[in-house]
Formats: sequence, structure tokens, C-alpha cells
Amino acid sequence: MIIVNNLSISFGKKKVLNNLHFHVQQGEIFGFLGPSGAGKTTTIKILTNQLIPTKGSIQVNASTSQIGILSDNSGVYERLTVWRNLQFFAELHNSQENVEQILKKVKLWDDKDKKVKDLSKGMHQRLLLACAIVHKPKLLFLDEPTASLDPATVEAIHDLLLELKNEGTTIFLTTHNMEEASKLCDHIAFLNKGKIVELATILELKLKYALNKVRITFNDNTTLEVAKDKKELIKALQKTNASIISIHSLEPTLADIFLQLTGRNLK
Amino acid sequence: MRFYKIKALLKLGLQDLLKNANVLIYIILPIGFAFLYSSMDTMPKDFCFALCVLLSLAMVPVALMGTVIAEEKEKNTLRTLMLNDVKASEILIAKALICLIFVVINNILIYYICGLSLTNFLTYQLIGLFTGLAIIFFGAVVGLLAKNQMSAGLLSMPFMLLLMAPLFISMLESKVLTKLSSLLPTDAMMSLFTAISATKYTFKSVGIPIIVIASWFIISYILFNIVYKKVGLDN
Ligand SMILES: Nc1ncnc2c1ncn2[C@@H]1O[C@H](COP(=O)(O)OP(=O)(O)OP(=O)(O)O)[C@@H](O)[C@H]1O
Ligand SMILES: [Mg+2]
Repeated sequence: MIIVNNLSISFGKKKVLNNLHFHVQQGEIFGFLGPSGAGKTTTIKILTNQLIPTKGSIQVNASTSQIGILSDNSGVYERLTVWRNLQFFAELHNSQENVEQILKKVKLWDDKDKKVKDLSKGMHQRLLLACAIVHKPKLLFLDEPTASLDPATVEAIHDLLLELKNEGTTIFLTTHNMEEASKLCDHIAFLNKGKIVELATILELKLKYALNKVRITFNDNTTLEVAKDKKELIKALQKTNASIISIHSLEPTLADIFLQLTGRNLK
Repeated sequence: MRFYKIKALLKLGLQDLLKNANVLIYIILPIGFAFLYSSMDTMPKDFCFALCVLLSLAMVPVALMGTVIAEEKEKNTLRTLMLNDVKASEILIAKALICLIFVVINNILIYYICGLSLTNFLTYQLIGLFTGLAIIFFGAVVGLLAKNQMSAGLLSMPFMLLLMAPLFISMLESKVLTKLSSLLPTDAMMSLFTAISATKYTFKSVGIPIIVIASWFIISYILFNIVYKKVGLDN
């Protein structure tokens, strides 16, 4: 769906994106992760023709009318109601999609007669999402769709994104929320200072950066982290008289992996 | 250019405008003046009409047009529209149509409020619309250059002063200035109103003002194109 080769962009002397290569396959959720200032928004702007790259080629297999975008500079009409705004975007695309159905999907049906300027932040974000999907886009760009929202709204948005994916929508998602990425994404690219430092599926990442450790929890409330090695395990168990409550294989979180790759925290 | 997009933009734009007190003032003010002037016994009806139409033309096609475009930039809706497969030309046409609709509505209301006889109704309306059309590109230029509503207001000022200049100049009784003033589209419009109410149809009284207004149409269109090539709509 998206093929990017050799992509670089500079603003003045500052190189913001440095030689990016990646493919986004049809129907997947592609996670673009990185700390603030890494170049995530800049990449979306290039892919949606808002910026012209300094170097490299991009190929996006969807026309403007088949693309939906949600970013921090998406705008709606503040003096008009939720319903009217969504209806307008449907009209713009000559979309037969049911406005009522979409409002219910983003859980804004009860607030449909509220003016946009009276919405809470989470409602506002859900309206922007509704406007971005009202024409059933083939390709959806989401720039930090859940940043600083309450857990319930985040959950609702995640469910909707998975539903869209099931319906065949390709989603390009930027985030610095690791849990979000592991829950939603098929492929993940880590971006740091304008470079992709790792690109793989969640499973590949977990295997590659596996910690090879287990965590044992005992009934005296102590825990022990031990290498996945028979001898080590036996040695550890002999040291204590408490009985075992659970043994878990320790999985690296995406945050751990990112830290390991860059020495930087994600936020 | 796609008609359904312009239709959607037009419908929404009108609805939004009617809820926007900041810019409604540009529409209501000339009407207010029409009420005020028409209540003065010393004010000739024709002059009352010409004055208020002139005011309306300085405000609606210039300040209103510029401000509604600038607001779309300020609130990020312009970029959102462009990302939703809407062309700059479609947005500008919808905005121009909205402003021209109010040019016409205002002129009709002012005509009635000032109490003119119905004989010249249609001619007066056509002249008002024709002049509005000639200057709407100035409003578009303001919209292209302004980053927000505030700067649109400021940028409209010189255009508004220019369009209202005939009023001040007529008070000064200076021959040179009067001559210069006759080159302004609003002055030409007033001359046309005068010629028609006096039923004096000569080349000098009708032909020249029409040429003047048509020239302004071309001038403002050229200016618009230069500015558009330089800065575009979504800058
Ligand atoms: N138009 C521009 N001119 C100059 N510098 C820019 C421009 N746009 C972005 N940058 C710079 O490019 C870098 C990357 O910005 P970008 O917005 O892509 O980061 P991001 O990964 O989206 O960050 P965040 O998570 O905070 O949204 C930043 O250092 C920013 O200052
Ligand atoms: Mg960003």
C-alpha cells in the first residue's frame, strides 16, 4: 500500500528524516514509533503530500479521496454540531455511509447535538476520527490518535481501529505509547532522530530481544528473576523454603527494546 | 471542479456564517445605516441607497470574504478540507458565492428600507451585483494573504478605504480628487445610479462607469492571480 525508499528531508541545515525505507502492506496496522521530535508527523505529512521530500521516492497506492487523516492539526467547525460536521464530511465525499452508524461507533450518538466547541477533549478526538473515516478510506493515517486521552476513550478508539482493520482498512499509526503499539500493530518501525532503528513484527521483536529469564513468585511475597537455565533454576529454588505461586517467562516490553536500541526513553 | 463539493461547502459556509457574530456585523452594519439614514427627512432616498450599498460593498465582498477564508486557515479547517480531496478553487468559489449572496440580499433590503420606487429595482440590483463581482477578488486576495481573522481585518482596511473614498472626496470639492475618484468602482456605481434615476443615458454617464467597473474586475482578477501564484491558498 505504501512503499518508501531512500526518503530524506531537511529543513534548512537540519536533517529531520534520514534515508527511510519501509513498506506498509495492505490491510495491516503499521506502527510508527518514536520519541517526540523523531520525525513521525513529518513522515505523515510527506506521505499525504503536505511536504515535498528532499530526496527519495514514495509510492502511496490510494488516491486523495481514498485516504483519511487524523492529526493534531485536523480541524472541524466549532460553531456547528457534531452531527452537522460529520454530515458535511460525508457530503464532501458523496458518501453513502450512515452518519448515525458512525456516530454510534465512536460513541458520540448521545452528544450529536452538542456544538463542537462544547465537547471535551476525548469527544473532540472521537469526532475527528469519525470525520476521518466517514468516507470509508482505504488508507488511514493517524497521528497520535490517543495521546492524552482517558483510558475509556482510548479503549473505544482501539476497538474501532481493530474493527476497521478487519474491514480491510490499512492504518498507518504513529504513537509513543508502547502498549498501544503492541496491542494494535502488525509491523512496528522504531524511529529515532530521523532514522529507522528497527522494523519488525511484534513477535519478531520479542524473540529477538527476548530476556531469557523467568520470574518466580513465592507465597511469602518474594519474587525472583532467574535465567532460563535448568541449573540456575534449581539453584535458586533450593535457596528458599517458600512454595511457588507462579512462574512466568519475562517478555521484553517495546519500551525496553527501544531503550536498548537507542539508550533513550520514548517520552 | 465538482458541483457536489461546492454545494456541500456552500451549505455549510452559510450555516456557519449565520452563527458567527464576528463577521455578521459586516452584513448587518450597512442595513443598520440604511434604517438610520432612511429615518432622516433631509436624506434623499437615492442617496441613502447609494451610500448604504457602497458601505455594504466595502464590507461584504472584501472584509467578509477575507475573514471567512482566513478563519478556515486559523482553525485548521482549510488544511483539513484540502486533505479531504477538496480543491482550492472549490473552496474559493463557495466562499465567493456566499459573499455574493449577501451582496444581493443586502442590496435588496437596503432598497426596500430606503423606500425607493420599484421602477429601477432590477437595474439597481444588477449594478450592485456587477460591482460586487468586480471587487470580490480583492476579498480573496485578503484571504490568501491573511493568516488569521485579525490580520484579515487589517488587510481589508486599505481596500475598504479605497472603496469608500468617493464619500469623503465628494465632501472635499477638489477637482483633481473628484476626477481620480471617478476611476474607482464604487464611484462609477454611484454615477450609474445617478444616471438611471435621472434617466440620462449618455456614453459619459453610463458607458464610462461601466468601463471603469469592468476594468476593476480585470485588475482585481489579475492581482488575485499574481498573489495566488505567489502564496497559494493553504500557505
Ligand atoms: N516546517 C518545519 N521547519 C523546520 N523544522 C521542522 C518543521 N517541521 C518539523 N520540523 C522539525 O522536525 C523534527 C521532527 O518533527 P515532527 O513533528 O515530525 O516530530 P514527531 O515525531 O511528530 O514528534 P511528536 O511526537 O512530538 O509529535 C522536529 O525537530 C521539528 O522541530
Ligand atoms: Mg507529531
